[in-house]
Amino acid sequence: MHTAIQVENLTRVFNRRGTAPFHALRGISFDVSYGEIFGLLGPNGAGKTTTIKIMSTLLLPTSGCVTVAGFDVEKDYAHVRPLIGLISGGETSGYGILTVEEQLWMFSQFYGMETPVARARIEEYLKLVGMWDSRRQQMNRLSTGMRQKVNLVRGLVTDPKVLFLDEPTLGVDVEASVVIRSIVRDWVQEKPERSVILTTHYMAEADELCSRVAIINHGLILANAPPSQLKQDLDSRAHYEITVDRLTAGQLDLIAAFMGEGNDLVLGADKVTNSPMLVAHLMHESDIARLITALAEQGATLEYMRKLEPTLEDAFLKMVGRRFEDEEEASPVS
Amino acid sequence: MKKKLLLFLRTLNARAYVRIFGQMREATWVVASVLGGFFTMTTYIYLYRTLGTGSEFSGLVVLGGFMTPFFLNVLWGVAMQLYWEKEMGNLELMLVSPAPLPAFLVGLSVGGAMHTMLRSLAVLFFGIAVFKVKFTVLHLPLALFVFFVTLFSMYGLGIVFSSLFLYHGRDAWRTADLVMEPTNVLSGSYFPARFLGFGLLGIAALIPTTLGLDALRQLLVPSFTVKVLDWHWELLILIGLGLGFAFIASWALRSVEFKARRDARLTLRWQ
Repeated sequence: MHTAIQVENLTRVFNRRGTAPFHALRGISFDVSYGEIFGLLGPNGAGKTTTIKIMSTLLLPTSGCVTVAGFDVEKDYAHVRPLIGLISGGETSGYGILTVEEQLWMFSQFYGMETPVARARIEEYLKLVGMWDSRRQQMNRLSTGMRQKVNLVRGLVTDPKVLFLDEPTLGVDVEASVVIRSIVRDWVQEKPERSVILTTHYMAEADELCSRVAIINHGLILANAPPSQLKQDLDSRAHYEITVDRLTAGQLDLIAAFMGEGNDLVLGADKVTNSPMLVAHLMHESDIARLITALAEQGATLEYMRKLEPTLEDAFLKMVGRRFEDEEEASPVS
Repeated sequence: MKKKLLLFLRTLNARAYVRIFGQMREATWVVASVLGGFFTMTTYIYLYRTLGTGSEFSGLVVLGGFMTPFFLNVLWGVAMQLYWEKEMGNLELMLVSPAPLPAFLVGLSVGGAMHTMLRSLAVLFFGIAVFKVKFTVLHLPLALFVFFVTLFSMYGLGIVFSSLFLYHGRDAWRTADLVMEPTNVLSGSYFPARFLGFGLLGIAALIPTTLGLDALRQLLVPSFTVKVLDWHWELLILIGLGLGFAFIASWALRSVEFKARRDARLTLRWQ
């Protein structure tokens, strides 16, 4: 079996006293294969966390079907739980009075692990995240980044088949984020029967880690494809930013005529040097050579040039209509 | 079956560990709770001495002081625990794991009882040493049996309440605060429960501490005569209560977990 997770027509309605029912999920479907890191992207209140909570057996669906490793999360939840792990960003779980080592051992016992096996894995993963020397430190004395590394180890020690990562690098510094991302990527590649479901606010993180992402908004999946395809679908043209020493509007018209229809050229000024800056949207990648030739023929000397790549954030923005930073809507999940 | 049993026992052991060893690291809290219990006990002993009651009243107060920390542990450390776990973000990790919910609660009951035992023994020791209270040790093994049956019954009641408190969240916190003193009074911690009268005793008998303490006083305090029932009957009732609470707790935890999954009450609203 190659499907780690299968979600079919999943809906979830929250009935809140005194207000109209809130439809958090409106019939979403997707599947996740083993060996895959699958991203769920969407603004707050889009339904990401609700989906994760249903997949991880913490919440019942209103309708639809979800299976994890072939087991129904509603009816066979007892079979699902030994196979999954859950790590949330900004998590303060556990007990502050325990040491790092004790805390990880405690959680391993909730999965029935033999103590020597648990201790060996705890040592292996603590060394991997660079926290072996802090193993005897009490949890309530750790920084946010250290705590999140411990949470990651907690999720990995029990060797789950499916790992749910809900904003795993939220509030974590750059160094810890890099470590977490690198470990997650290696962990999935290590065994073919592992998979990760990731929700994140950081587009670059999803772009770097995920083999596929689903963009979700208002309880609906707007797109489900590899990040490269989402970016490609955004615009098939090639985009360049070129700064030159001099270029007039008249010269630009001549160049535009030379380049032909479908190639758009926009003249502006560099914010720092105030030199003329040309933004070119070209039909074909190869047209850049013709453009440089045309600029040279007009006597313009090239100062700086860079290719503008569409980002996952651009794709997200196009579909959702706003950036993560613009969100104010609160999550309805309780 | 063996795998399930091992999982239950490992979970129980791990959760008890936090209570036994983790909380030992909060030495100031341990000292404060021992001193608090000792001073309450002292107040009642001086009150009874001022009123000129018999010496057996000092004995029943010391036994009350010994049992009160267990009662507080059941209320705040077991009944409220699932609510605390939810607030700390632990509950979802507990439920996502394959460990059964009763294993966590039995674990924290065992751990809580062992941790509380040290504090209770300290109160008992101070009571005996400072006030020269005398107990008879003639029925000590029997008294120990009654004591453990009382604990079983008390912690069973705590687990029943934990499922209710999980579902009702913050309201439960206020309820626990509200019922603490009346329950303390009804259980006759510092006076013979028979003085409550038969009407109130009907309710008070549902709190295992009431009959447990009364039986212990009959077995350990010489010349204690104001008993509620003969200790044999009290022991039988306590066993019945314990088994009943265990059955209700098992059903309530399953039922509440299902309802909480349905109504989205297992995780914090802001998560």
